[in-house]
Amino acid sequence: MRVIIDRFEGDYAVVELEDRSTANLPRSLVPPGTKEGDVLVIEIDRNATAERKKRIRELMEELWEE
Amino acid sequence: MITGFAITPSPPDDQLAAEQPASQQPINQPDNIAVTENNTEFSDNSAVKNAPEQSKDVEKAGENPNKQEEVDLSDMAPAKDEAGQQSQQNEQDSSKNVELAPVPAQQPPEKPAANLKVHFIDVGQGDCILIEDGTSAMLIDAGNPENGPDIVSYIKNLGIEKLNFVLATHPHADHIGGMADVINAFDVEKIIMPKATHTTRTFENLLLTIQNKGLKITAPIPGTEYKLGNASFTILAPNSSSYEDLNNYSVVVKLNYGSTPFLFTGDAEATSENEILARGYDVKADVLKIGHHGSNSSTTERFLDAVSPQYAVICVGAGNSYGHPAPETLSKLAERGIKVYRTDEVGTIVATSDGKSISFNKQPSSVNISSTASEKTDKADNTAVSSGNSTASDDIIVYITKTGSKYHRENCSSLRSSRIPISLSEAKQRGYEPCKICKPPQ
Repeated sequence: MRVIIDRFEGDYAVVELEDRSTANLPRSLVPPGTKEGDVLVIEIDRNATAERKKRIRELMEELWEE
Repeated sequence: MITGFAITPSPPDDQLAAEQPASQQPINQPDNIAVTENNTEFSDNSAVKNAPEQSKDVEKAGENPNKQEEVDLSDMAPAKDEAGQQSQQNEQDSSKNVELAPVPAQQPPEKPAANLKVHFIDVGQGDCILIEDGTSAMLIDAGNPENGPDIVSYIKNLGIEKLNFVLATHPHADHIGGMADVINAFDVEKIIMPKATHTTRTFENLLLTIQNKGLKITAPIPGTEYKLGNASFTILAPNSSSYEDLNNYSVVVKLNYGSTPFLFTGDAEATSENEILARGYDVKADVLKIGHHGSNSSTTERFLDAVSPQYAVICVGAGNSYGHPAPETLSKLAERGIKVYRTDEVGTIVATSDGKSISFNKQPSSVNISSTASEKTDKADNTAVSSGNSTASDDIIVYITKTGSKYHRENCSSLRSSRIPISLSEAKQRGYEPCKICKPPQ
């Protein structure tokens, strides 16, 4: 998903979604140096997700008695 | 019901308004009360999507959320309900409008001094201002994308078919959002926009709409005057060719009508306000549309004093997440005894001028103003009494910054980074000089 920085207001970056509506994104979620007009990509990192699932599952297997 | 609105002597208008009772309901729905505060979620505007009568364009936009994951839908459900209540409430408000704000007829039987009307249309967190003078009309800004259809019906319900001017102050979505819908719906004579670029789909869509209609865009040149019926307006900004922030590209316009000028500032910030003053323009106005929804980045004391308005209008969404209007801005206005009208409090506001005086169809804001005002007045009185009396100046507190060499009034815009209270006599003793912008006591 791509969103476009429409403007900054207070603690938020106001981003334009693909349907042209707008949403507030806390500035802390926006990479430093982002400017009005910049396009941000929001995507799922499948590899990182799978890796974390695996690691947590292994940890759980050690801890549950049954 | 608000009484005391000076109904102007234009009988055909009332008739016209009465014929279209269902008219204005959607536009007043300010959306946001419900949705905001909720942090990272969808911003103030999402509730407005539920507005009835969407145009094709917007319908298409509105459909998308449904295609998203289920989580989104459930998230949005409560917002819908609350938005529904909100719009009901506003329906009542707008019925007031219908009664209270008679509309100029297209062809008045005779031509009595047709009054100028300025509608500050409630679009939630955004700007939308319609100026009508007799048969001429001008739109300044058009709210957010989801406001488009409602803005169109509001204008149509006034009997307006042609817009002599459509002015987009700057390309942020809360100002140009509904403008493509407006341009599609009306005969538009002249479009004024700063040649400032943006990458959003909203801006692209507006440009494509203008192109499809075979229209061209006029860039604002400060000093240029245009006629609008019996009124005229002068462009005062932007005065530079490039700015870091799009807000400062805002087209600032002074509307002249008899002895009741209005000043519309878009989202112009301190940078642009200072440029306007440096150019020496006559900014004096009876009504000031406060810049940038009352944010503390606009409305410097020097600019406010130069405009010296009796009335201020703040176009702002209830419960917005951005802290608009800023308390500093409100206290600057209160200190000067300026009456403030806020769309987040009273919905759409109509100011009517007969060329000599101005009346409003809504009550001014009373929130926190009176107490602040009297407190400030007391302070000012003290200052006046003590001037010329060196011992009393110990009591006066001024403010300095970590690095600056000037001392300031409490609200001076120079105090943004640091603000250290100090008595006036000590400040002077330590070699600080009075700030030229806020002009503190000496």
